[in-house]
Amino acid sequence: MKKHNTRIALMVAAIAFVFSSCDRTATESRWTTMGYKPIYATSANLNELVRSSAARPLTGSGKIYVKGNLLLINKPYEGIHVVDNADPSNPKNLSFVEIPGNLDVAMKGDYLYADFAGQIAVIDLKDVSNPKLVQGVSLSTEFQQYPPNSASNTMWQGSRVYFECPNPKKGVVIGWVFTELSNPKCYR
Amino acid sequence: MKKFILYSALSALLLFACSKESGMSSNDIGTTTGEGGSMAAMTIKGNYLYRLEGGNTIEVYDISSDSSAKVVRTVNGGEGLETIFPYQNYLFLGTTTGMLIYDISSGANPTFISRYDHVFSCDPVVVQGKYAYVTLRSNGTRCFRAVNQLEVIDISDITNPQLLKVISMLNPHGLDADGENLVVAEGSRGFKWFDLANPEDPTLISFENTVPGYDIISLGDRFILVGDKGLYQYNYNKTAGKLDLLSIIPVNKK
Repeated sequence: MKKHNTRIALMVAAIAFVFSSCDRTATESRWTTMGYKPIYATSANLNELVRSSAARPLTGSGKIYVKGNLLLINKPYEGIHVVDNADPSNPKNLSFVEIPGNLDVAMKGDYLYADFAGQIAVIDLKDVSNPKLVQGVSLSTEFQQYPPNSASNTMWQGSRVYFECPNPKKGVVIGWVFTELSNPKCYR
Repeated sequence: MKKFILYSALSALLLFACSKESGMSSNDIGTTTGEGGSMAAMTIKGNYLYRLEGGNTIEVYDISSDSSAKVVRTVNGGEGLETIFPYQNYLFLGTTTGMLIYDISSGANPTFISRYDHVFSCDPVVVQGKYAYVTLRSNGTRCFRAVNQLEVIDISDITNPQLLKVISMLNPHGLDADGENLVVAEGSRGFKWFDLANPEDPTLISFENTVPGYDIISLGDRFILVGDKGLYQYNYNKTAGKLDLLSIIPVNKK
């Protein structure tokens, strides 16, 4: 009788263990990984996106670029703060040039070269309050559906690159941010 | 008399050429390029723009017409390309596994010269004279090895970079070497100012631990630093051994 009880107890414990491990699997399905998240815009036509707006307060760190008295501070994935730095003890935050998805800029003469959707857009900055797009970028269908197939980022999940599935209701994909994702359903 | 005029014209031309040259180096004249920080993944040299794409490719754009940028070449640079720094006729690439040196004297066709390897980390690089200064960072999501340091690398033989010195750091990001000054951003931990009187052996002058630093550009007697608290500008005050704060544009976190 005593032996029998022990056996039942063992079985109950075993069943409990099975159930608890099921629970654990369920929790683990909410997993996180590094991958790409789409950046959305209202249009894929840069002419409709690049424009100058009022100076914005700095909101975080971005790369900086200096040309003469101009000081450019990138606001990651949004554009650049344009600062008049003729007097470094009194810099003037002049304006913000909206370039969605942008991280890097460089200048030659009056022209600003900005990365946009994995390519280069050229913007005439002669009049910083009125930037003119002189070379746009056309977005491939593949770019809008899949993130870049970057070799250095695949190490996180073997050969898979995970990404948040683009949602057309949110707009047009004009860039991808490499970040932590939870439960990504898409990969390439 | 004719000779005199000719000589005058010649010397005037020479003078003009000299002043133009010095103007070029100070990034102030209309047709010249500007200067990025060490975190940049894009740079311009002459009529070409070099850009890192997808972590593994160097794209070369022809920008000779200024108003257009056309890809003329793509070079496979291996894996983990993160930052690009131009110095003389070379590109120095900071990668997750080291530093790559490319010769760009031909403009459109970067040719691989040499590499310097180290453990996996994130690392911008700047170059001055015979030395490259590289920071290695482990903190953060992508750079997981436990290494935070500044390395001084001898590049006097460009085909064979040699490690000279390692200085322990906290959370290094962008940096800039300029004359006898070296400033290194320490991320959320602040930034450090080193004396480069001996370029092989940077010696710490001050550690500003209340001003977070992400990217830095040094411009002779002053420098610009951007970080989580905002944009800070300082003058190097070497004689007093301190930095004189010029201005702040504060960050406004929502």
